[in-house]
Amino acid sequence: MTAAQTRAASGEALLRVRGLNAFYGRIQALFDIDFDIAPGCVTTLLGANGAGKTTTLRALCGMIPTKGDIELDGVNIGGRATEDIVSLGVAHVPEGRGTFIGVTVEENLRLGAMTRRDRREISADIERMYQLFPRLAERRAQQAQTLSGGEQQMLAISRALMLRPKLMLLDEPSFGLAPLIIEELFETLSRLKTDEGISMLIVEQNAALALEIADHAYLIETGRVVMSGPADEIGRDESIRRAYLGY
Amino acid sequence: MELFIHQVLAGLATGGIYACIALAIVMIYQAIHHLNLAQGEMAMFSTFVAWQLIEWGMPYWAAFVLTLVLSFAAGVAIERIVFRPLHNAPVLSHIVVFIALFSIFNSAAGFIWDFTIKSFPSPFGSQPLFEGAPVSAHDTGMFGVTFVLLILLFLFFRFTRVGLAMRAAAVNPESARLVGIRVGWMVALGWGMAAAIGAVAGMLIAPVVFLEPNMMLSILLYGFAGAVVGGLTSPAGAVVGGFIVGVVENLAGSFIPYIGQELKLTIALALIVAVLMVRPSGLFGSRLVSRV
Repeated sequence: MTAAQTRAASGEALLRVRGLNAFYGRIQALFDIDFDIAPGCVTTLLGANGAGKTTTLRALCGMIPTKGDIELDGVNIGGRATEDIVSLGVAHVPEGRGTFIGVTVEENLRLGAMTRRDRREISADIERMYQLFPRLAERRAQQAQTLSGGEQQMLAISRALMLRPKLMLLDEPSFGLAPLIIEELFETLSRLKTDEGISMLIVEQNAALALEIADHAYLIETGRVVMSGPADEIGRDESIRRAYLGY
Repeated sequence: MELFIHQVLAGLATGGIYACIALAIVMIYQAIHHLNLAQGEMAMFSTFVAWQLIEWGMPYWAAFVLTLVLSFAAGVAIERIVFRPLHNAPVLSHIVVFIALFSIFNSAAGFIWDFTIKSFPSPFGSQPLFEGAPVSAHDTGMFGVTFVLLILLFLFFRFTRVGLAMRAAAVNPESARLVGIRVGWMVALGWGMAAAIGAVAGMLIAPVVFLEPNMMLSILLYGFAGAVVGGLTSPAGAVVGGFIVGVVENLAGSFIPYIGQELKLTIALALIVAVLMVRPSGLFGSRLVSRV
C-alpha cells in the first residue's frame, strides 16, 4: 500500500481548504469556500464563466491575496509565496498553458524540475514524459511556441509532472483543442490517475468530460460552493444536468 | 585597402565594447522591460573603482576581478533597494529613477575623484600587436576579452540551470513562479551580471577614451544603437548589433567626407532612426504580440 493510499484509507485529506476568501484588489472573488481533496483522487470544480473556478486554483497557489486555511498534507500553505507552495509539491497547469517561448521542449521539461536536485532522476523522468507523449519526443529540440495547441497542453502537463507533484491543478485542459485531441488528453489523465495515483484538481468548462474522470465534484456559483458530492451523483442531478450538461 | 582593413579591425575592437553595453542593456530590458539609462554611468563608476584599486597598488588583473565582484554586488543591491519596490510603477517613474541614478553616479564620481581627465592603464600596452600590424595590442586584447566574455555568457544561458531559470523568468514570470523559480532573485541576478559586464566594457575602453565622469556618454549611445539594431528582445542580436555599430561608425568616420571623427556619434543616432523606421523590432528581434 502506498503512503497516499494509506492516508486515503484513514480518510485523511491531501488538501483541506476551510473558509477560503480571495480578492482581486478590493473586490472579493471567493467567499468562505470549503473543500477537500482525497489522495489519489480526481476532484473537479464545476461552474459557469466567472464563478471563481480559476480564481480558486490561483488562490491555492498563492498567486492572489487570500484569507483562510489551506492545508496540504497537514501543512498550512495559505499566504505563502507561490514558489514555496510549488516546492511543497503543488504543480499548476495554468490557463493558456504557460508555455515558455524561446525555450525548447526539452528545456521546458527541465524547467518543470527546477525545484529538484536529483539530476539523474530528472533525465529519467524526461524520458518517461517522452514515452507518455511520444509527440513531444519528436519535437524535443524544437522551440515550444512552434507546437500545436494540443502539443503545448501535453507539454504543460508533462512540465507539471516533472515536479513529481503531490497534487496537480489543471485549469481548462480542454480549452481550444479539437475533440479528438481532448479525448486523447483525458485518456492520458485517467491513466495517470489509475497507474500513478496522482491527485488532481481539474477545472473544466466541459462538465460532462470532467465528471467522467472525476471521483468528486464541487459546484461553484459567484464565488461560493453551492453543491458537492461524488461525481456520478452530481452528474445524475436533474438541475445540474439542465444547467451545465445541456440535456 | 589597407586603411579599410585597419578600420574594420579597429571597429570590431570598439564594437566588442558596444556589444557588451548593448548586452547589458538588453539583459535588464528583458527582465524589467525598461531601458537602463544609467548603464553607462554604472560602468564608469566601476572603472573609477578599478583605477582607485590600481592606484592603491593592486596588480591590474586583481583589481579587474575585484571590480567585477564589487560591480556585481552593487548591481544586485541597486535592484533590491531601488527597483524592487518600483516593479509595478509606470514607465515615467522608472525613467525618473534612471535619470536620478545617472546623475548620482556621475556627480559622485566627480565628487570623489574630481573631473580632471586621468589615464587608465592597459594590460596589453598601446604598441602595435607586432611589427607592422594593422591593430594595436590593446585593440586585440579588448576584442579577445569581450569575445571570451560573450562566449562564456552564451554557454551560461544555454547550458546551466540558473541560466535556463533566468531565461524562463524573463519570458514568462508567472509560469516561472509556477515551476518554483524565484523570479525576483533572477531579476536581481540579471542586474548584477549587467553591472559586471558594463564594468568589463568600462575598464577596457578607458585606456582609449581616458577616464573621467563623462567617458561613457557616447559609448552608451553606441550601445543603445547596437541594442536597437540587433533588437531589444534578442541578446545575441544585441551583440551582433554592437559589432555592426562599431564597424559602421569607424568606416563612416574615415570614408565619408565631412563626417570625420567629430560627427561620428551622429552615425549611432542615424542608425537607431533608420532601424526603427525600417524594422522596429531590430534585425534579430521578435515582435511582442500580446493576447487580449
